[in-house]
Amino acid sequence: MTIEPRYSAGIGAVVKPNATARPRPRPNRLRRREAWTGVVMALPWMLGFLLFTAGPMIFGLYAGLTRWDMISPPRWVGLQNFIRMFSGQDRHFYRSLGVTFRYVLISAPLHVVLGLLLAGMLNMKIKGTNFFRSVYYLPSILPIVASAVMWSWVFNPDFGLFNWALSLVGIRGPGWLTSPQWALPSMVIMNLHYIGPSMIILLAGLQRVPQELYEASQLDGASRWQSLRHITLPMLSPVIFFVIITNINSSFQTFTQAFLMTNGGPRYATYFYMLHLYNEAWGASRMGYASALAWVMFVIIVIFLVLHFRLGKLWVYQESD
Amino acid sequence: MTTSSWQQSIKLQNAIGGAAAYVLLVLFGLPFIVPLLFVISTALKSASQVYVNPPVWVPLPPQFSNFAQAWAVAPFGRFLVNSLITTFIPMIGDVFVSAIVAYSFARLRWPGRDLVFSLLLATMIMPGIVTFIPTFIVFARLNWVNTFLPFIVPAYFGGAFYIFLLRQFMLNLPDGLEEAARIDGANTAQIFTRIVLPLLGPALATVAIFSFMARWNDFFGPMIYLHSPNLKTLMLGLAFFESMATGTGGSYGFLSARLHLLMAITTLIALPCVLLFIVFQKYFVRDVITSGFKL
Repeated sequence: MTIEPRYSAGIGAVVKPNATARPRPRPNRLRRREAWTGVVMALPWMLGFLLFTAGPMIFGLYAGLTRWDMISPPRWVGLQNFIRMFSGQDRHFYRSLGVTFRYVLISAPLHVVLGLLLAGMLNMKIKGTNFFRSVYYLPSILPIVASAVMWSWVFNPDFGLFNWALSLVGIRGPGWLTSPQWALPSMVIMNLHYIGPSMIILLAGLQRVPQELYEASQLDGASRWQSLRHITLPMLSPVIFFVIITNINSSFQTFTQAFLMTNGGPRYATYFYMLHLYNEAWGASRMGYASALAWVMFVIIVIFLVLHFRLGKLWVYQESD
Repeated sequence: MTTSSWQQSIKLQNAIGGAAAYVLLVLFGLPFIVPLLFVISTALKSASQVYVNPPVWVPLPPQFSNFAQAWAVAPFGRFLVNSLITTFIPMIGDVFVSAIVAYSFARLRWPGRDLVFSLLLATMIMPGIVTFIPTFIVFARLNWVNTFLPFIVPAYFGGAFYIFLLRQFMLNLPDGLEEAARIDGANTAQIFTRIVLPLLGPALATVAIFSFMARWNDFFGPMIYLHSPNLKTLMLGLAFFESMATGTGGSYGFLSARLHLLMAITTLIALPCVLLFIVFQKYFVRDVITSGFKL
């Protein structure tokens, strides 16, 4: 079955060469001028890439091999920073890594599953889906600081909204952010408020599944479950793939909500990696060590992304055209 | 089973499915919207109505004076000006420089273009964590701490995601007009400003909204670069007010005599985003995504 290219979305399509690169016989002089203009117009980003991405990355790697407090000049210490990290001398390294991993492994899949569920419901042909779409999206546009204040109040054990709602059905709610067991799950719950973009992207993906496929499968007597399994999910897989990437990236780098709501506590239950990095760099002025921490997290995320791309080959549907 | 009764049973099935979907949509929707109402309701309470169980939902009479009172707790007027500066000046760079770069990727042919573009795609998913500290060290060396330059300067080199979005949009524009103008002897600068930019309207608006949200809501950047009190942004002011009102670094107990004022200022600071969302909804929930994903 061939599907028109306009339906294609996702990684397969991203790396495709530019569609406008059509062969066109033109005099050399004009072609050279076009090339020059092109390079000049793209120059800002290329310079920006060197100045604000590639340059800092390399500089950060160097800084990670030094001891640097920003007052005296950096002192070369070789791999000492990394040894301090992995040997457990820094007792917060593994702890914050553990907190972050637990958060990512719960929060990211939950985001995808709930996002799919909401997108699926909003894709039904019923009235009022526009209204619900806005309701679900609205919290995502709130400033994270405002959201942190809001959730601190909602999670208040004695006067907060959650425990009041639970008391209506006769449940005595936990201490949420004040409880070492519940503080991290509270962060996961709060993060669900930021599901809007994932949901909308998945919904756009659903709406781009060609109706003919469903009609054809119905004629062939496929059940709803079969058409979900064999049409919807494969057609949606590139979008799901993309949503997972953004979730891995953002949840590994969680900072603001933990910084404002719990400052890592209680008893380090929400001491995220980024919080540790921040405290090392801007609290303790250990810029060298913090740079090493940053590089380690960078490598971890890249490993996750590479694994994701590798595994993606097994389940992401790529149409052949 | 006759055809009509078969159709009826399908209809009934759909009706039941629809009703179930409504129930679920409402149930799921409650936790998305009620916390917001809870904050607004608290913002309108008098101090004595705040710590009450069960909560007062409609405070009578609503204390609208809370907003003015909260605004006066810290120099929020100054913070507002700073937020406007760190939002709008970079936003112009985000929008127009990104558009220029995007045009080059979408329409002009030059050696290495596709390679550079895949580099751009890679930076889109590259974790930013690795550049925070080195960038800070360099900006600190340049004496840019306690200035707005760390926000303004990088914006005028274009943003990868914005460039990507605009390029996708341009690829979907018919290029007949541009060809015709070129045959008539127009140069690239003329084509870009007179033909392409006007056609880009919706895409530029999308980028402007994205840029506004990212910069207005930013907390980490202002926190590490803006220390002097008269340079702080609204987000820093709000965080400062929170730690002051609750008296702790974190909000464990979260008891404060000024909680209603904290909620009032939170409402005010979130308001521009909510209004923007209501007015430009289609850019958030429709056009943005379809333009980004029409690959």
